[in-house]
Amino acid sequence: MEISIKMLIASIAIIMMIQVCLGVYISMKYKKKLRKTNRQETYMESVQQGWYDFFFGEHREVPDVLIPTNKEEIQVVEYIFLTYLNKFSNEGIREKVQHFANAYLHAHYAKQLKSVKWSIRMNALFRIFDFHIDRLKDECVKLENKKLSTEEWFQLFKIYAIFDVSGFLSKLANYPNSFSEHEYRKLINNVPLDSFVILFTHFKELPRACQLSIIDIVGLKRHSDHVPFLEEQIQSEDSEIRIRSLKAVYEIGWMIDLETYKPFVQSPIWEERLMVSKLFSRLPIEQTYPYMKKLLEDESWWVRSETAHSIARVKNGEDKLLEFLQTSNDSYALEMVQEILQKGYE
Amino acid sequence: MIESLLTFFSLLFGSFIILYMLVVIFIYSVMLIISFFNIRKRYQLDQEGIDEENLDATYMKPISIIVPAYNEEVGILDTIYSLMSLRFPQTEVIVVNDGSKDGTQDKLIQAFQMKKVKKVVKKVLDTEPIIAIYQSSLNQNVWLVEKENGGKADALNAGINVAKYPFFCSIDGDSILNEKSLLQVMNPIVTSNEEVIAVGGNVRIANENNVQLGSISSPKLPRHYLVVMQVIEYLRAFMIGRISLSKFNMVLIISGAFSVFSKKWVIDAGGYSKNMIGEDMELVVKLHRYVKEHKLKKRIEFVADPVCWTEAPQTLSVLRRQRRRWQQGLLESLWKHKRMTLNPKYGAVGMVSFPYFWFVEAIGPLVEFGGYVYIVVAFFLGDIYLEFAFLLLCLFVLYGSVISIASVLLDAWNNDVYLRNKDLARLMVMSLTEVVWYKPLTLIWKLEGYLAFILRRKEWGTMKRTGLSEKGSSS
Repeated sequence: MEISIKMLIASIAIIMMIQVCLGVYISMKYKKKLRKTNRQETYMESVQQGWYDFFFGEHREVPDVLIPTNKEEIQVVEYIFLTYLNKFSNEGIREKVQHFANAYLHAHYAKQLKSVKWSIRMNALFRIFDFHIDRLKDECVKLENKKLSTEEWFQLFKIYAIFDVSGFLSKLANYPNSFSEHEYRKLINNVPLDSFVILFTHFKELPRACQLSIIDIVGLKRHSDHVPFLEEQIQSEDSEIRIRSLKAVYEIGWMIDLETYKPFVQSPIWEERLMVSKLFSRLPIEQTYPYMKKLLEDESWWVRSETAHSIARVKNGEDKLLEFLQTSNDSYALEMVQEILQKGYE
Repeated sequence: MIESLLTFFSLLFGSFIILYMLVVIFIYSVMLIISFFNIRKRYQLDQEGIDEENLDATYMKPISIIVPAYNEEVGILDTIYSLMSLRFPQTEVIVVNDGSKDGTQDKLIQAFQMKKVKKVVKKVLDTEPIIAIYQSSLNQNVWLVEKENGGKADALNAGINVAKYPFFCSIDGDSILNEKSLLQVMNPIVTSNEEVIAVGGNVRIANENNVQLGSISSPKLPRHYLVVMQVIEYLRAFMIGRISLSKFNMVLIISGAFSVFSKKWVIDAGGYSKNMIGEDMELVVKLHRYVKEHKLKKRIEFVADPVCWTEAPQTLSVLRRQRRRWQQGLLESLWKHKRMTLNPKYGAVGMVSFPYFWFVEAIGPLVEFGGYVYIVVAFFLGDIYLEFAFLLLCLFVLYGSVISIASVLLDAWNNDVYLRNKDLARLMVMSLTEVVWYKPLTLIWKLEGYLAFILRRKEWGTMKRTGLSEKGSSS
């Protein structure tokens, strides 16, 4: 017993000693970090104006003073670049950043890509993407031979999506794991608009989550040339693809043909009925009212609600709602319409 | 004869406590190591880029923020300002006034120019009647729901009924979020393709910090000794318990002060339970149960980055009430779902989380209290008992202070929240004193929680607040 107590006290004492040392180490690290932050702030002040002149001036070549000479300065430059890229969507700035990064930062990131630390490799991949450093494309491809985490693969795909769409798609089709829809969206959103045709050609080969993301992104890009592709998808056997395509057509905001969409009023899936009621707000109420009336009395609360909102949005819509109030005796629908009429539409 | 029997039993009892402590210390150490590796992997990772990208509405899902409020006139405006200044593409804020008797409602109506509106509410969850719904004229996305008093769970359910977005975030009426917290807490949900159905964020204590129009500029460590102890406790619970449990989808508690849920699953699981004290834990357990019983592949996660600042009790009496409630809530949930314990049908939650919670969180206070009593009694008895007591005391130090210091260090290494050496030193020294005063106090309160559990006491759990803003800044 005595021995065990002694041992226990000794081990507690040792652990606490170690903890105190760790505490001292961490506080030294704090101090070091503070000093580093101060140095970086001074550097930032000295180069800020120079970078502003470079980005908004005529010169393509960077003055020597702006070229960072060590890691700390590179971090400042990264910060400046990211701020400019996020604040201004200006092709000129993007090109200048790309040009500079290709010339002066590639060696730094190439080295980071080889790091054994996952977080450092990830940071390098983030920056290669942010600054569009195409000079490191081959280094990225080489990375594929290593055992990579899903996060790293994702960053690689993002980089491929901006540089080489065909390669990106064939790699994506053969990638053994899958990403989430959210991640596919991020990938697809980086594909240049003029390369979307390639996406459409390879559409069937891609994982379903990726297909859904393509449809969503097509909707968000609002390009009317893409409507035929979506109208092809609304004939799909997969209901989710149909619903998403209907939504995308709505997002694009293009005039639609009543005949193409009419069948969805009878759909057994409420989401399809809801989407079609939204789509019909693109057409004159005189054409769509018979269908809208049916949708106003739909069994689903969501469909009724959306339809009432849709009608209120179109020209003469409120008159039609008033007419509906007098003719219908569906109490649920009436309640909804009353709410809309009182509030006006959002 | 009787004397030797007595000696035998008291030594047996002592050995039992020692064995228990050793097991718990082992479990804590394992969890600490798991957390360490988890944090180390992400160390130095530049999270900024991911957050910026998520700000794009293309990627993020809209979210309804529900703020249940019962007599929260002191902090409510700061909370709403903080929610309005969040960086997030699309949100709506729904304050649910659960029949407050103070000026909560008037303050909101005045500050946000609320106007009564007629709004049809789909009653998916059963709640006490809603009296009126107001919409702000200053910001169309701020709503106030006035309802009859029904408790926090009922208020949250009413908020869910009114919410229009597929995800909702529940935030206490006295909490302040960092501007990116919501983005970060939503990240696991969107990146997992909604496989993650609930996420809890990290809660930190903001007492004595100055909040100006909803944000904390430079956080400092509170000076009040009772609050510092709670800072340590929170760090310990979040940095150790939750990170490691979350890694294996075994989290049973995500803080009610700040968490995001997928509305569909919460509704399917029946919403918040009204007659339970710990409604936040209860919901998480219910979700786990629902997911497992329906054989779904869903997860519940805890993330350490997104921070929510909250006000901790500053007096013994308020802290006592809070702890009593927590313990009662924990026991109620565990008891209600006791069938999940060691039931392979519920996977890791049934086989590991539940036994862990029973063993460490539920039985723990009883055994620890026994330990303290043993030490005191042994001190008078002397002899062999004294050695036992000494051994036990060492284990208490190891179990309490050493592990607490380790959590403080882990947090200091990972975050620069309190960037002053003095603060770090204070946290470490205070951790050392934990065994002597704070631990015994909380133990007694937890035992009161046991009593309340047995007697089934009910209360809303209000706490007297001093408010986080300097006088007059936003109230």
